Amino acid sequence: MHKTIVALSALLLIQSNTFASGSGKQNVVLDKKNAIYWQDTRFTEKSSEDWDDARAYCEALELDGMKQWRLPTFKELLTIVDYTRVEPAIHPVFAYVNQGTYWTSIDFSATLSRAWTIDFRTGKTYYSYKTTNHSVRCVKDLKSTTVKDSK
Amino acid sequence: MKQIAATFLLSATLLMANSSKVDEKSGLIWQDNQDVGEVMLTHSEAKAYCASLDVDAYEDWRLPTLKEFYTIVDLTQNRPALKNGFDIRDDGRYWTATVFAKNPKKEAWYIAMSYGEAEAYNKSRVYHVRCVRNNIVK
Repeated sequence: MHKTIVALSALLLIQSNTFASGSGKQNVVLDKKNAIYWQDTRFTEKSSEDWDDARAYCEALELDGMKQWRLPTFKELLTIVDYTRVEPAIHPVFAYVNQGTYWTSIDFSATLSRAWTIDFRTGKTYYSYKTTNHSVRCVKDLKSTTVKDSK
Repeated sequence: MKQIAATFLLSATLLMANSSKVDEKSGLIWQDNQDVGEVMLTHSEAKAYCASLDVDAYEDWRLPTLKEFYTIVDLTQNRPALKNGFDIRDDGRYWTATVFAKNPKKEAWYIAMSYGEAEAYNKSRVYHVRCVRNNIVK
């Protein structure tokens, strides 16, 4: 609980009403509208993992004292695409970005050998083979943190 | 009776109006008449078509943005990857109002409703159109 409060207090509002990023720690972006934290670290920029490893990475992640991370759903990842920009087409609050393809947790409906991705060079969406290597940006539900914190 | 049965088939968030469907979750109202399956237009024609559309006695229709269109996409389904509740379920490519930032004059985003992927393409291509309007809150 103490860790949680420290992590929350590190999150200062510097951008729009929707997103806030930590000023001291640059590891986490808070998405208030969707009530989730976004990972924003060097790994977010440099990572290249197949789908299984991407999922395992998020599940094992501990960031600013916070656990219980996961891959974003397709619709969560779509919320940080900014279609008024390209190269990269991402909300400017994020510091660690590459112009590549990022994994989502959502299986492709026609075959389980593929999962949905979003290419942050332009915002193109596609179903990629799970054995392909892509970048990873994990999310964490705000609920699991704030419920504890409010007591 | 038939009317009641049909209403039960609709998903929880979509309510029946005649030729359009209300999505209570997003507050958007979607065109859902035969035109959606039949009309194929270029991007500029699609914008003009929505602006002049008169369905269910409403005239304030417009082309949906890419993110708005994704609110009716259901990636757990395919052919089409469309939420339950719509009568017209043609699975071709649909124009969105979102232009491609790298080449905004020439290209715009479409969503391919067979599986739900989005790609930017030349505005001169003719694709399907499903117009949208905002639910007016009183």
